Amino acid sequence: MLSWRVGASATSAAEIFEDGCGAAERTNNLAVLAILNALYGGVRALNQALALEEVRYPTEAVPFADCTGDVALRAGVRGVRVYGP
Amino acid sequence: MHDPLVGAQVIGYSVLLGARGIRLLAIGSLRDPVTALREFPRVQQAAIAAGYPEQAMWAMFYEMELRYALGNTDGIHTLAQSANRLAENLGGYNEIGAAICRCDLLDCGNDWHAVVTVATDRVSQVRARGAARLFESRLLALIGAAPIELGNVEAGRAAAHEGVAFVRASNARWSPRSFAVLAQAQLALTETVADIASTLDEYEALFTRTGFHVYEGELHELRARLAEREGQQAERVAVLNRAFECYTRVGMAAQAARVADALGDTA
Repeated sequence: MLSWRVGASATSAAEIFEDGCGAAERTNNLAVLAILNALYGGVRALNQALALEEVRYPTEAVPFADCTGDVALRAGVRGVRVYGP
Repeated sequence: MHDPLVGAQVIGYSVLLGARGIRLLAIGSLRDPVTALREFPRVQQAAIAAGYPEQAMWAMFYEMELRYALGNTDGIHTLAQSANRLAENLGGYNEIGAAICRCDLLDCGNDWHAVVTVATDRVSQVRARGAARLFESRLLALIGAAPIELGNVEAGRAAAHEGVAFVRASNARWSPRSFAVLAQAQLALTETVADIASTLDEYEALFTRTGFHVYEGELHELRARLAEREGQQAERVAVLNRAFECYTRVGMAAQAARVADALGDTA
């Protein structure tokens, strides 16, 4: 959200995503993996005009969210897909 | 939490508010603009009250998008001003969305030179940053339509063609107006029937997928202009009737009246 506000480039968003996923995988933090994937699809779609990514990444986030058992997170990552083409 | 660096409340993103805004844009574009326009202010107020100014701004953007497509100018000055005021504090790519609201307002006021200036500046910005490029199709449609109004059809055609290429490459179908602008330019430049029909067929195929009927009446009016140019009177009347039906179905009364006049002239 902050990168959107300060006008971050597509490259820096990709770096943030990779760093975040790496840290989440090392600590087995599935909730963070779900959130990162759900939001990064939107970042790729908006920044790089890859509209299908708005569906692909949030879809990949769903199994992570489901494993956490957090109902709000499960609903949230599914909701992000409304922006798809 | 208030972030002193961005000068705004920073909470994050509400999926629920995002879904409510998109839902209204979809309902309005598909079948029931009246309900959508009535509900948008509630979503905007809810976003402000809950501390999501960014999402309030984007709900304003969606409302402006719908009003612009409908040719409904009620309250658009206030709407564009509010979106721009919010974006001033939020910064970044929110300012691009707000700029599109400003362009829509300028376009409704026939201020074509200003539309081109503002929209071209924003296209340059997103290309230079390599980010927020999804807005290009919307901006290119504005950049294409304005020169046509000013008589520079070739320039309008070039921008619209770029916009169409962008829609194809990105698969972003939510802002398809470049197709209509391209067809207008092709008609003005008396291009071949096959080329114009190809543009319109591709435009129509988008509606088959999205169901965004608010754009459909204009498509049939463009087909009517092509039929008239080719001397196909029966075809012209048939597609004008379809345009009338589309406009009536989604409550676009002024456009329906315009088509009724054209049909009356035919009779």
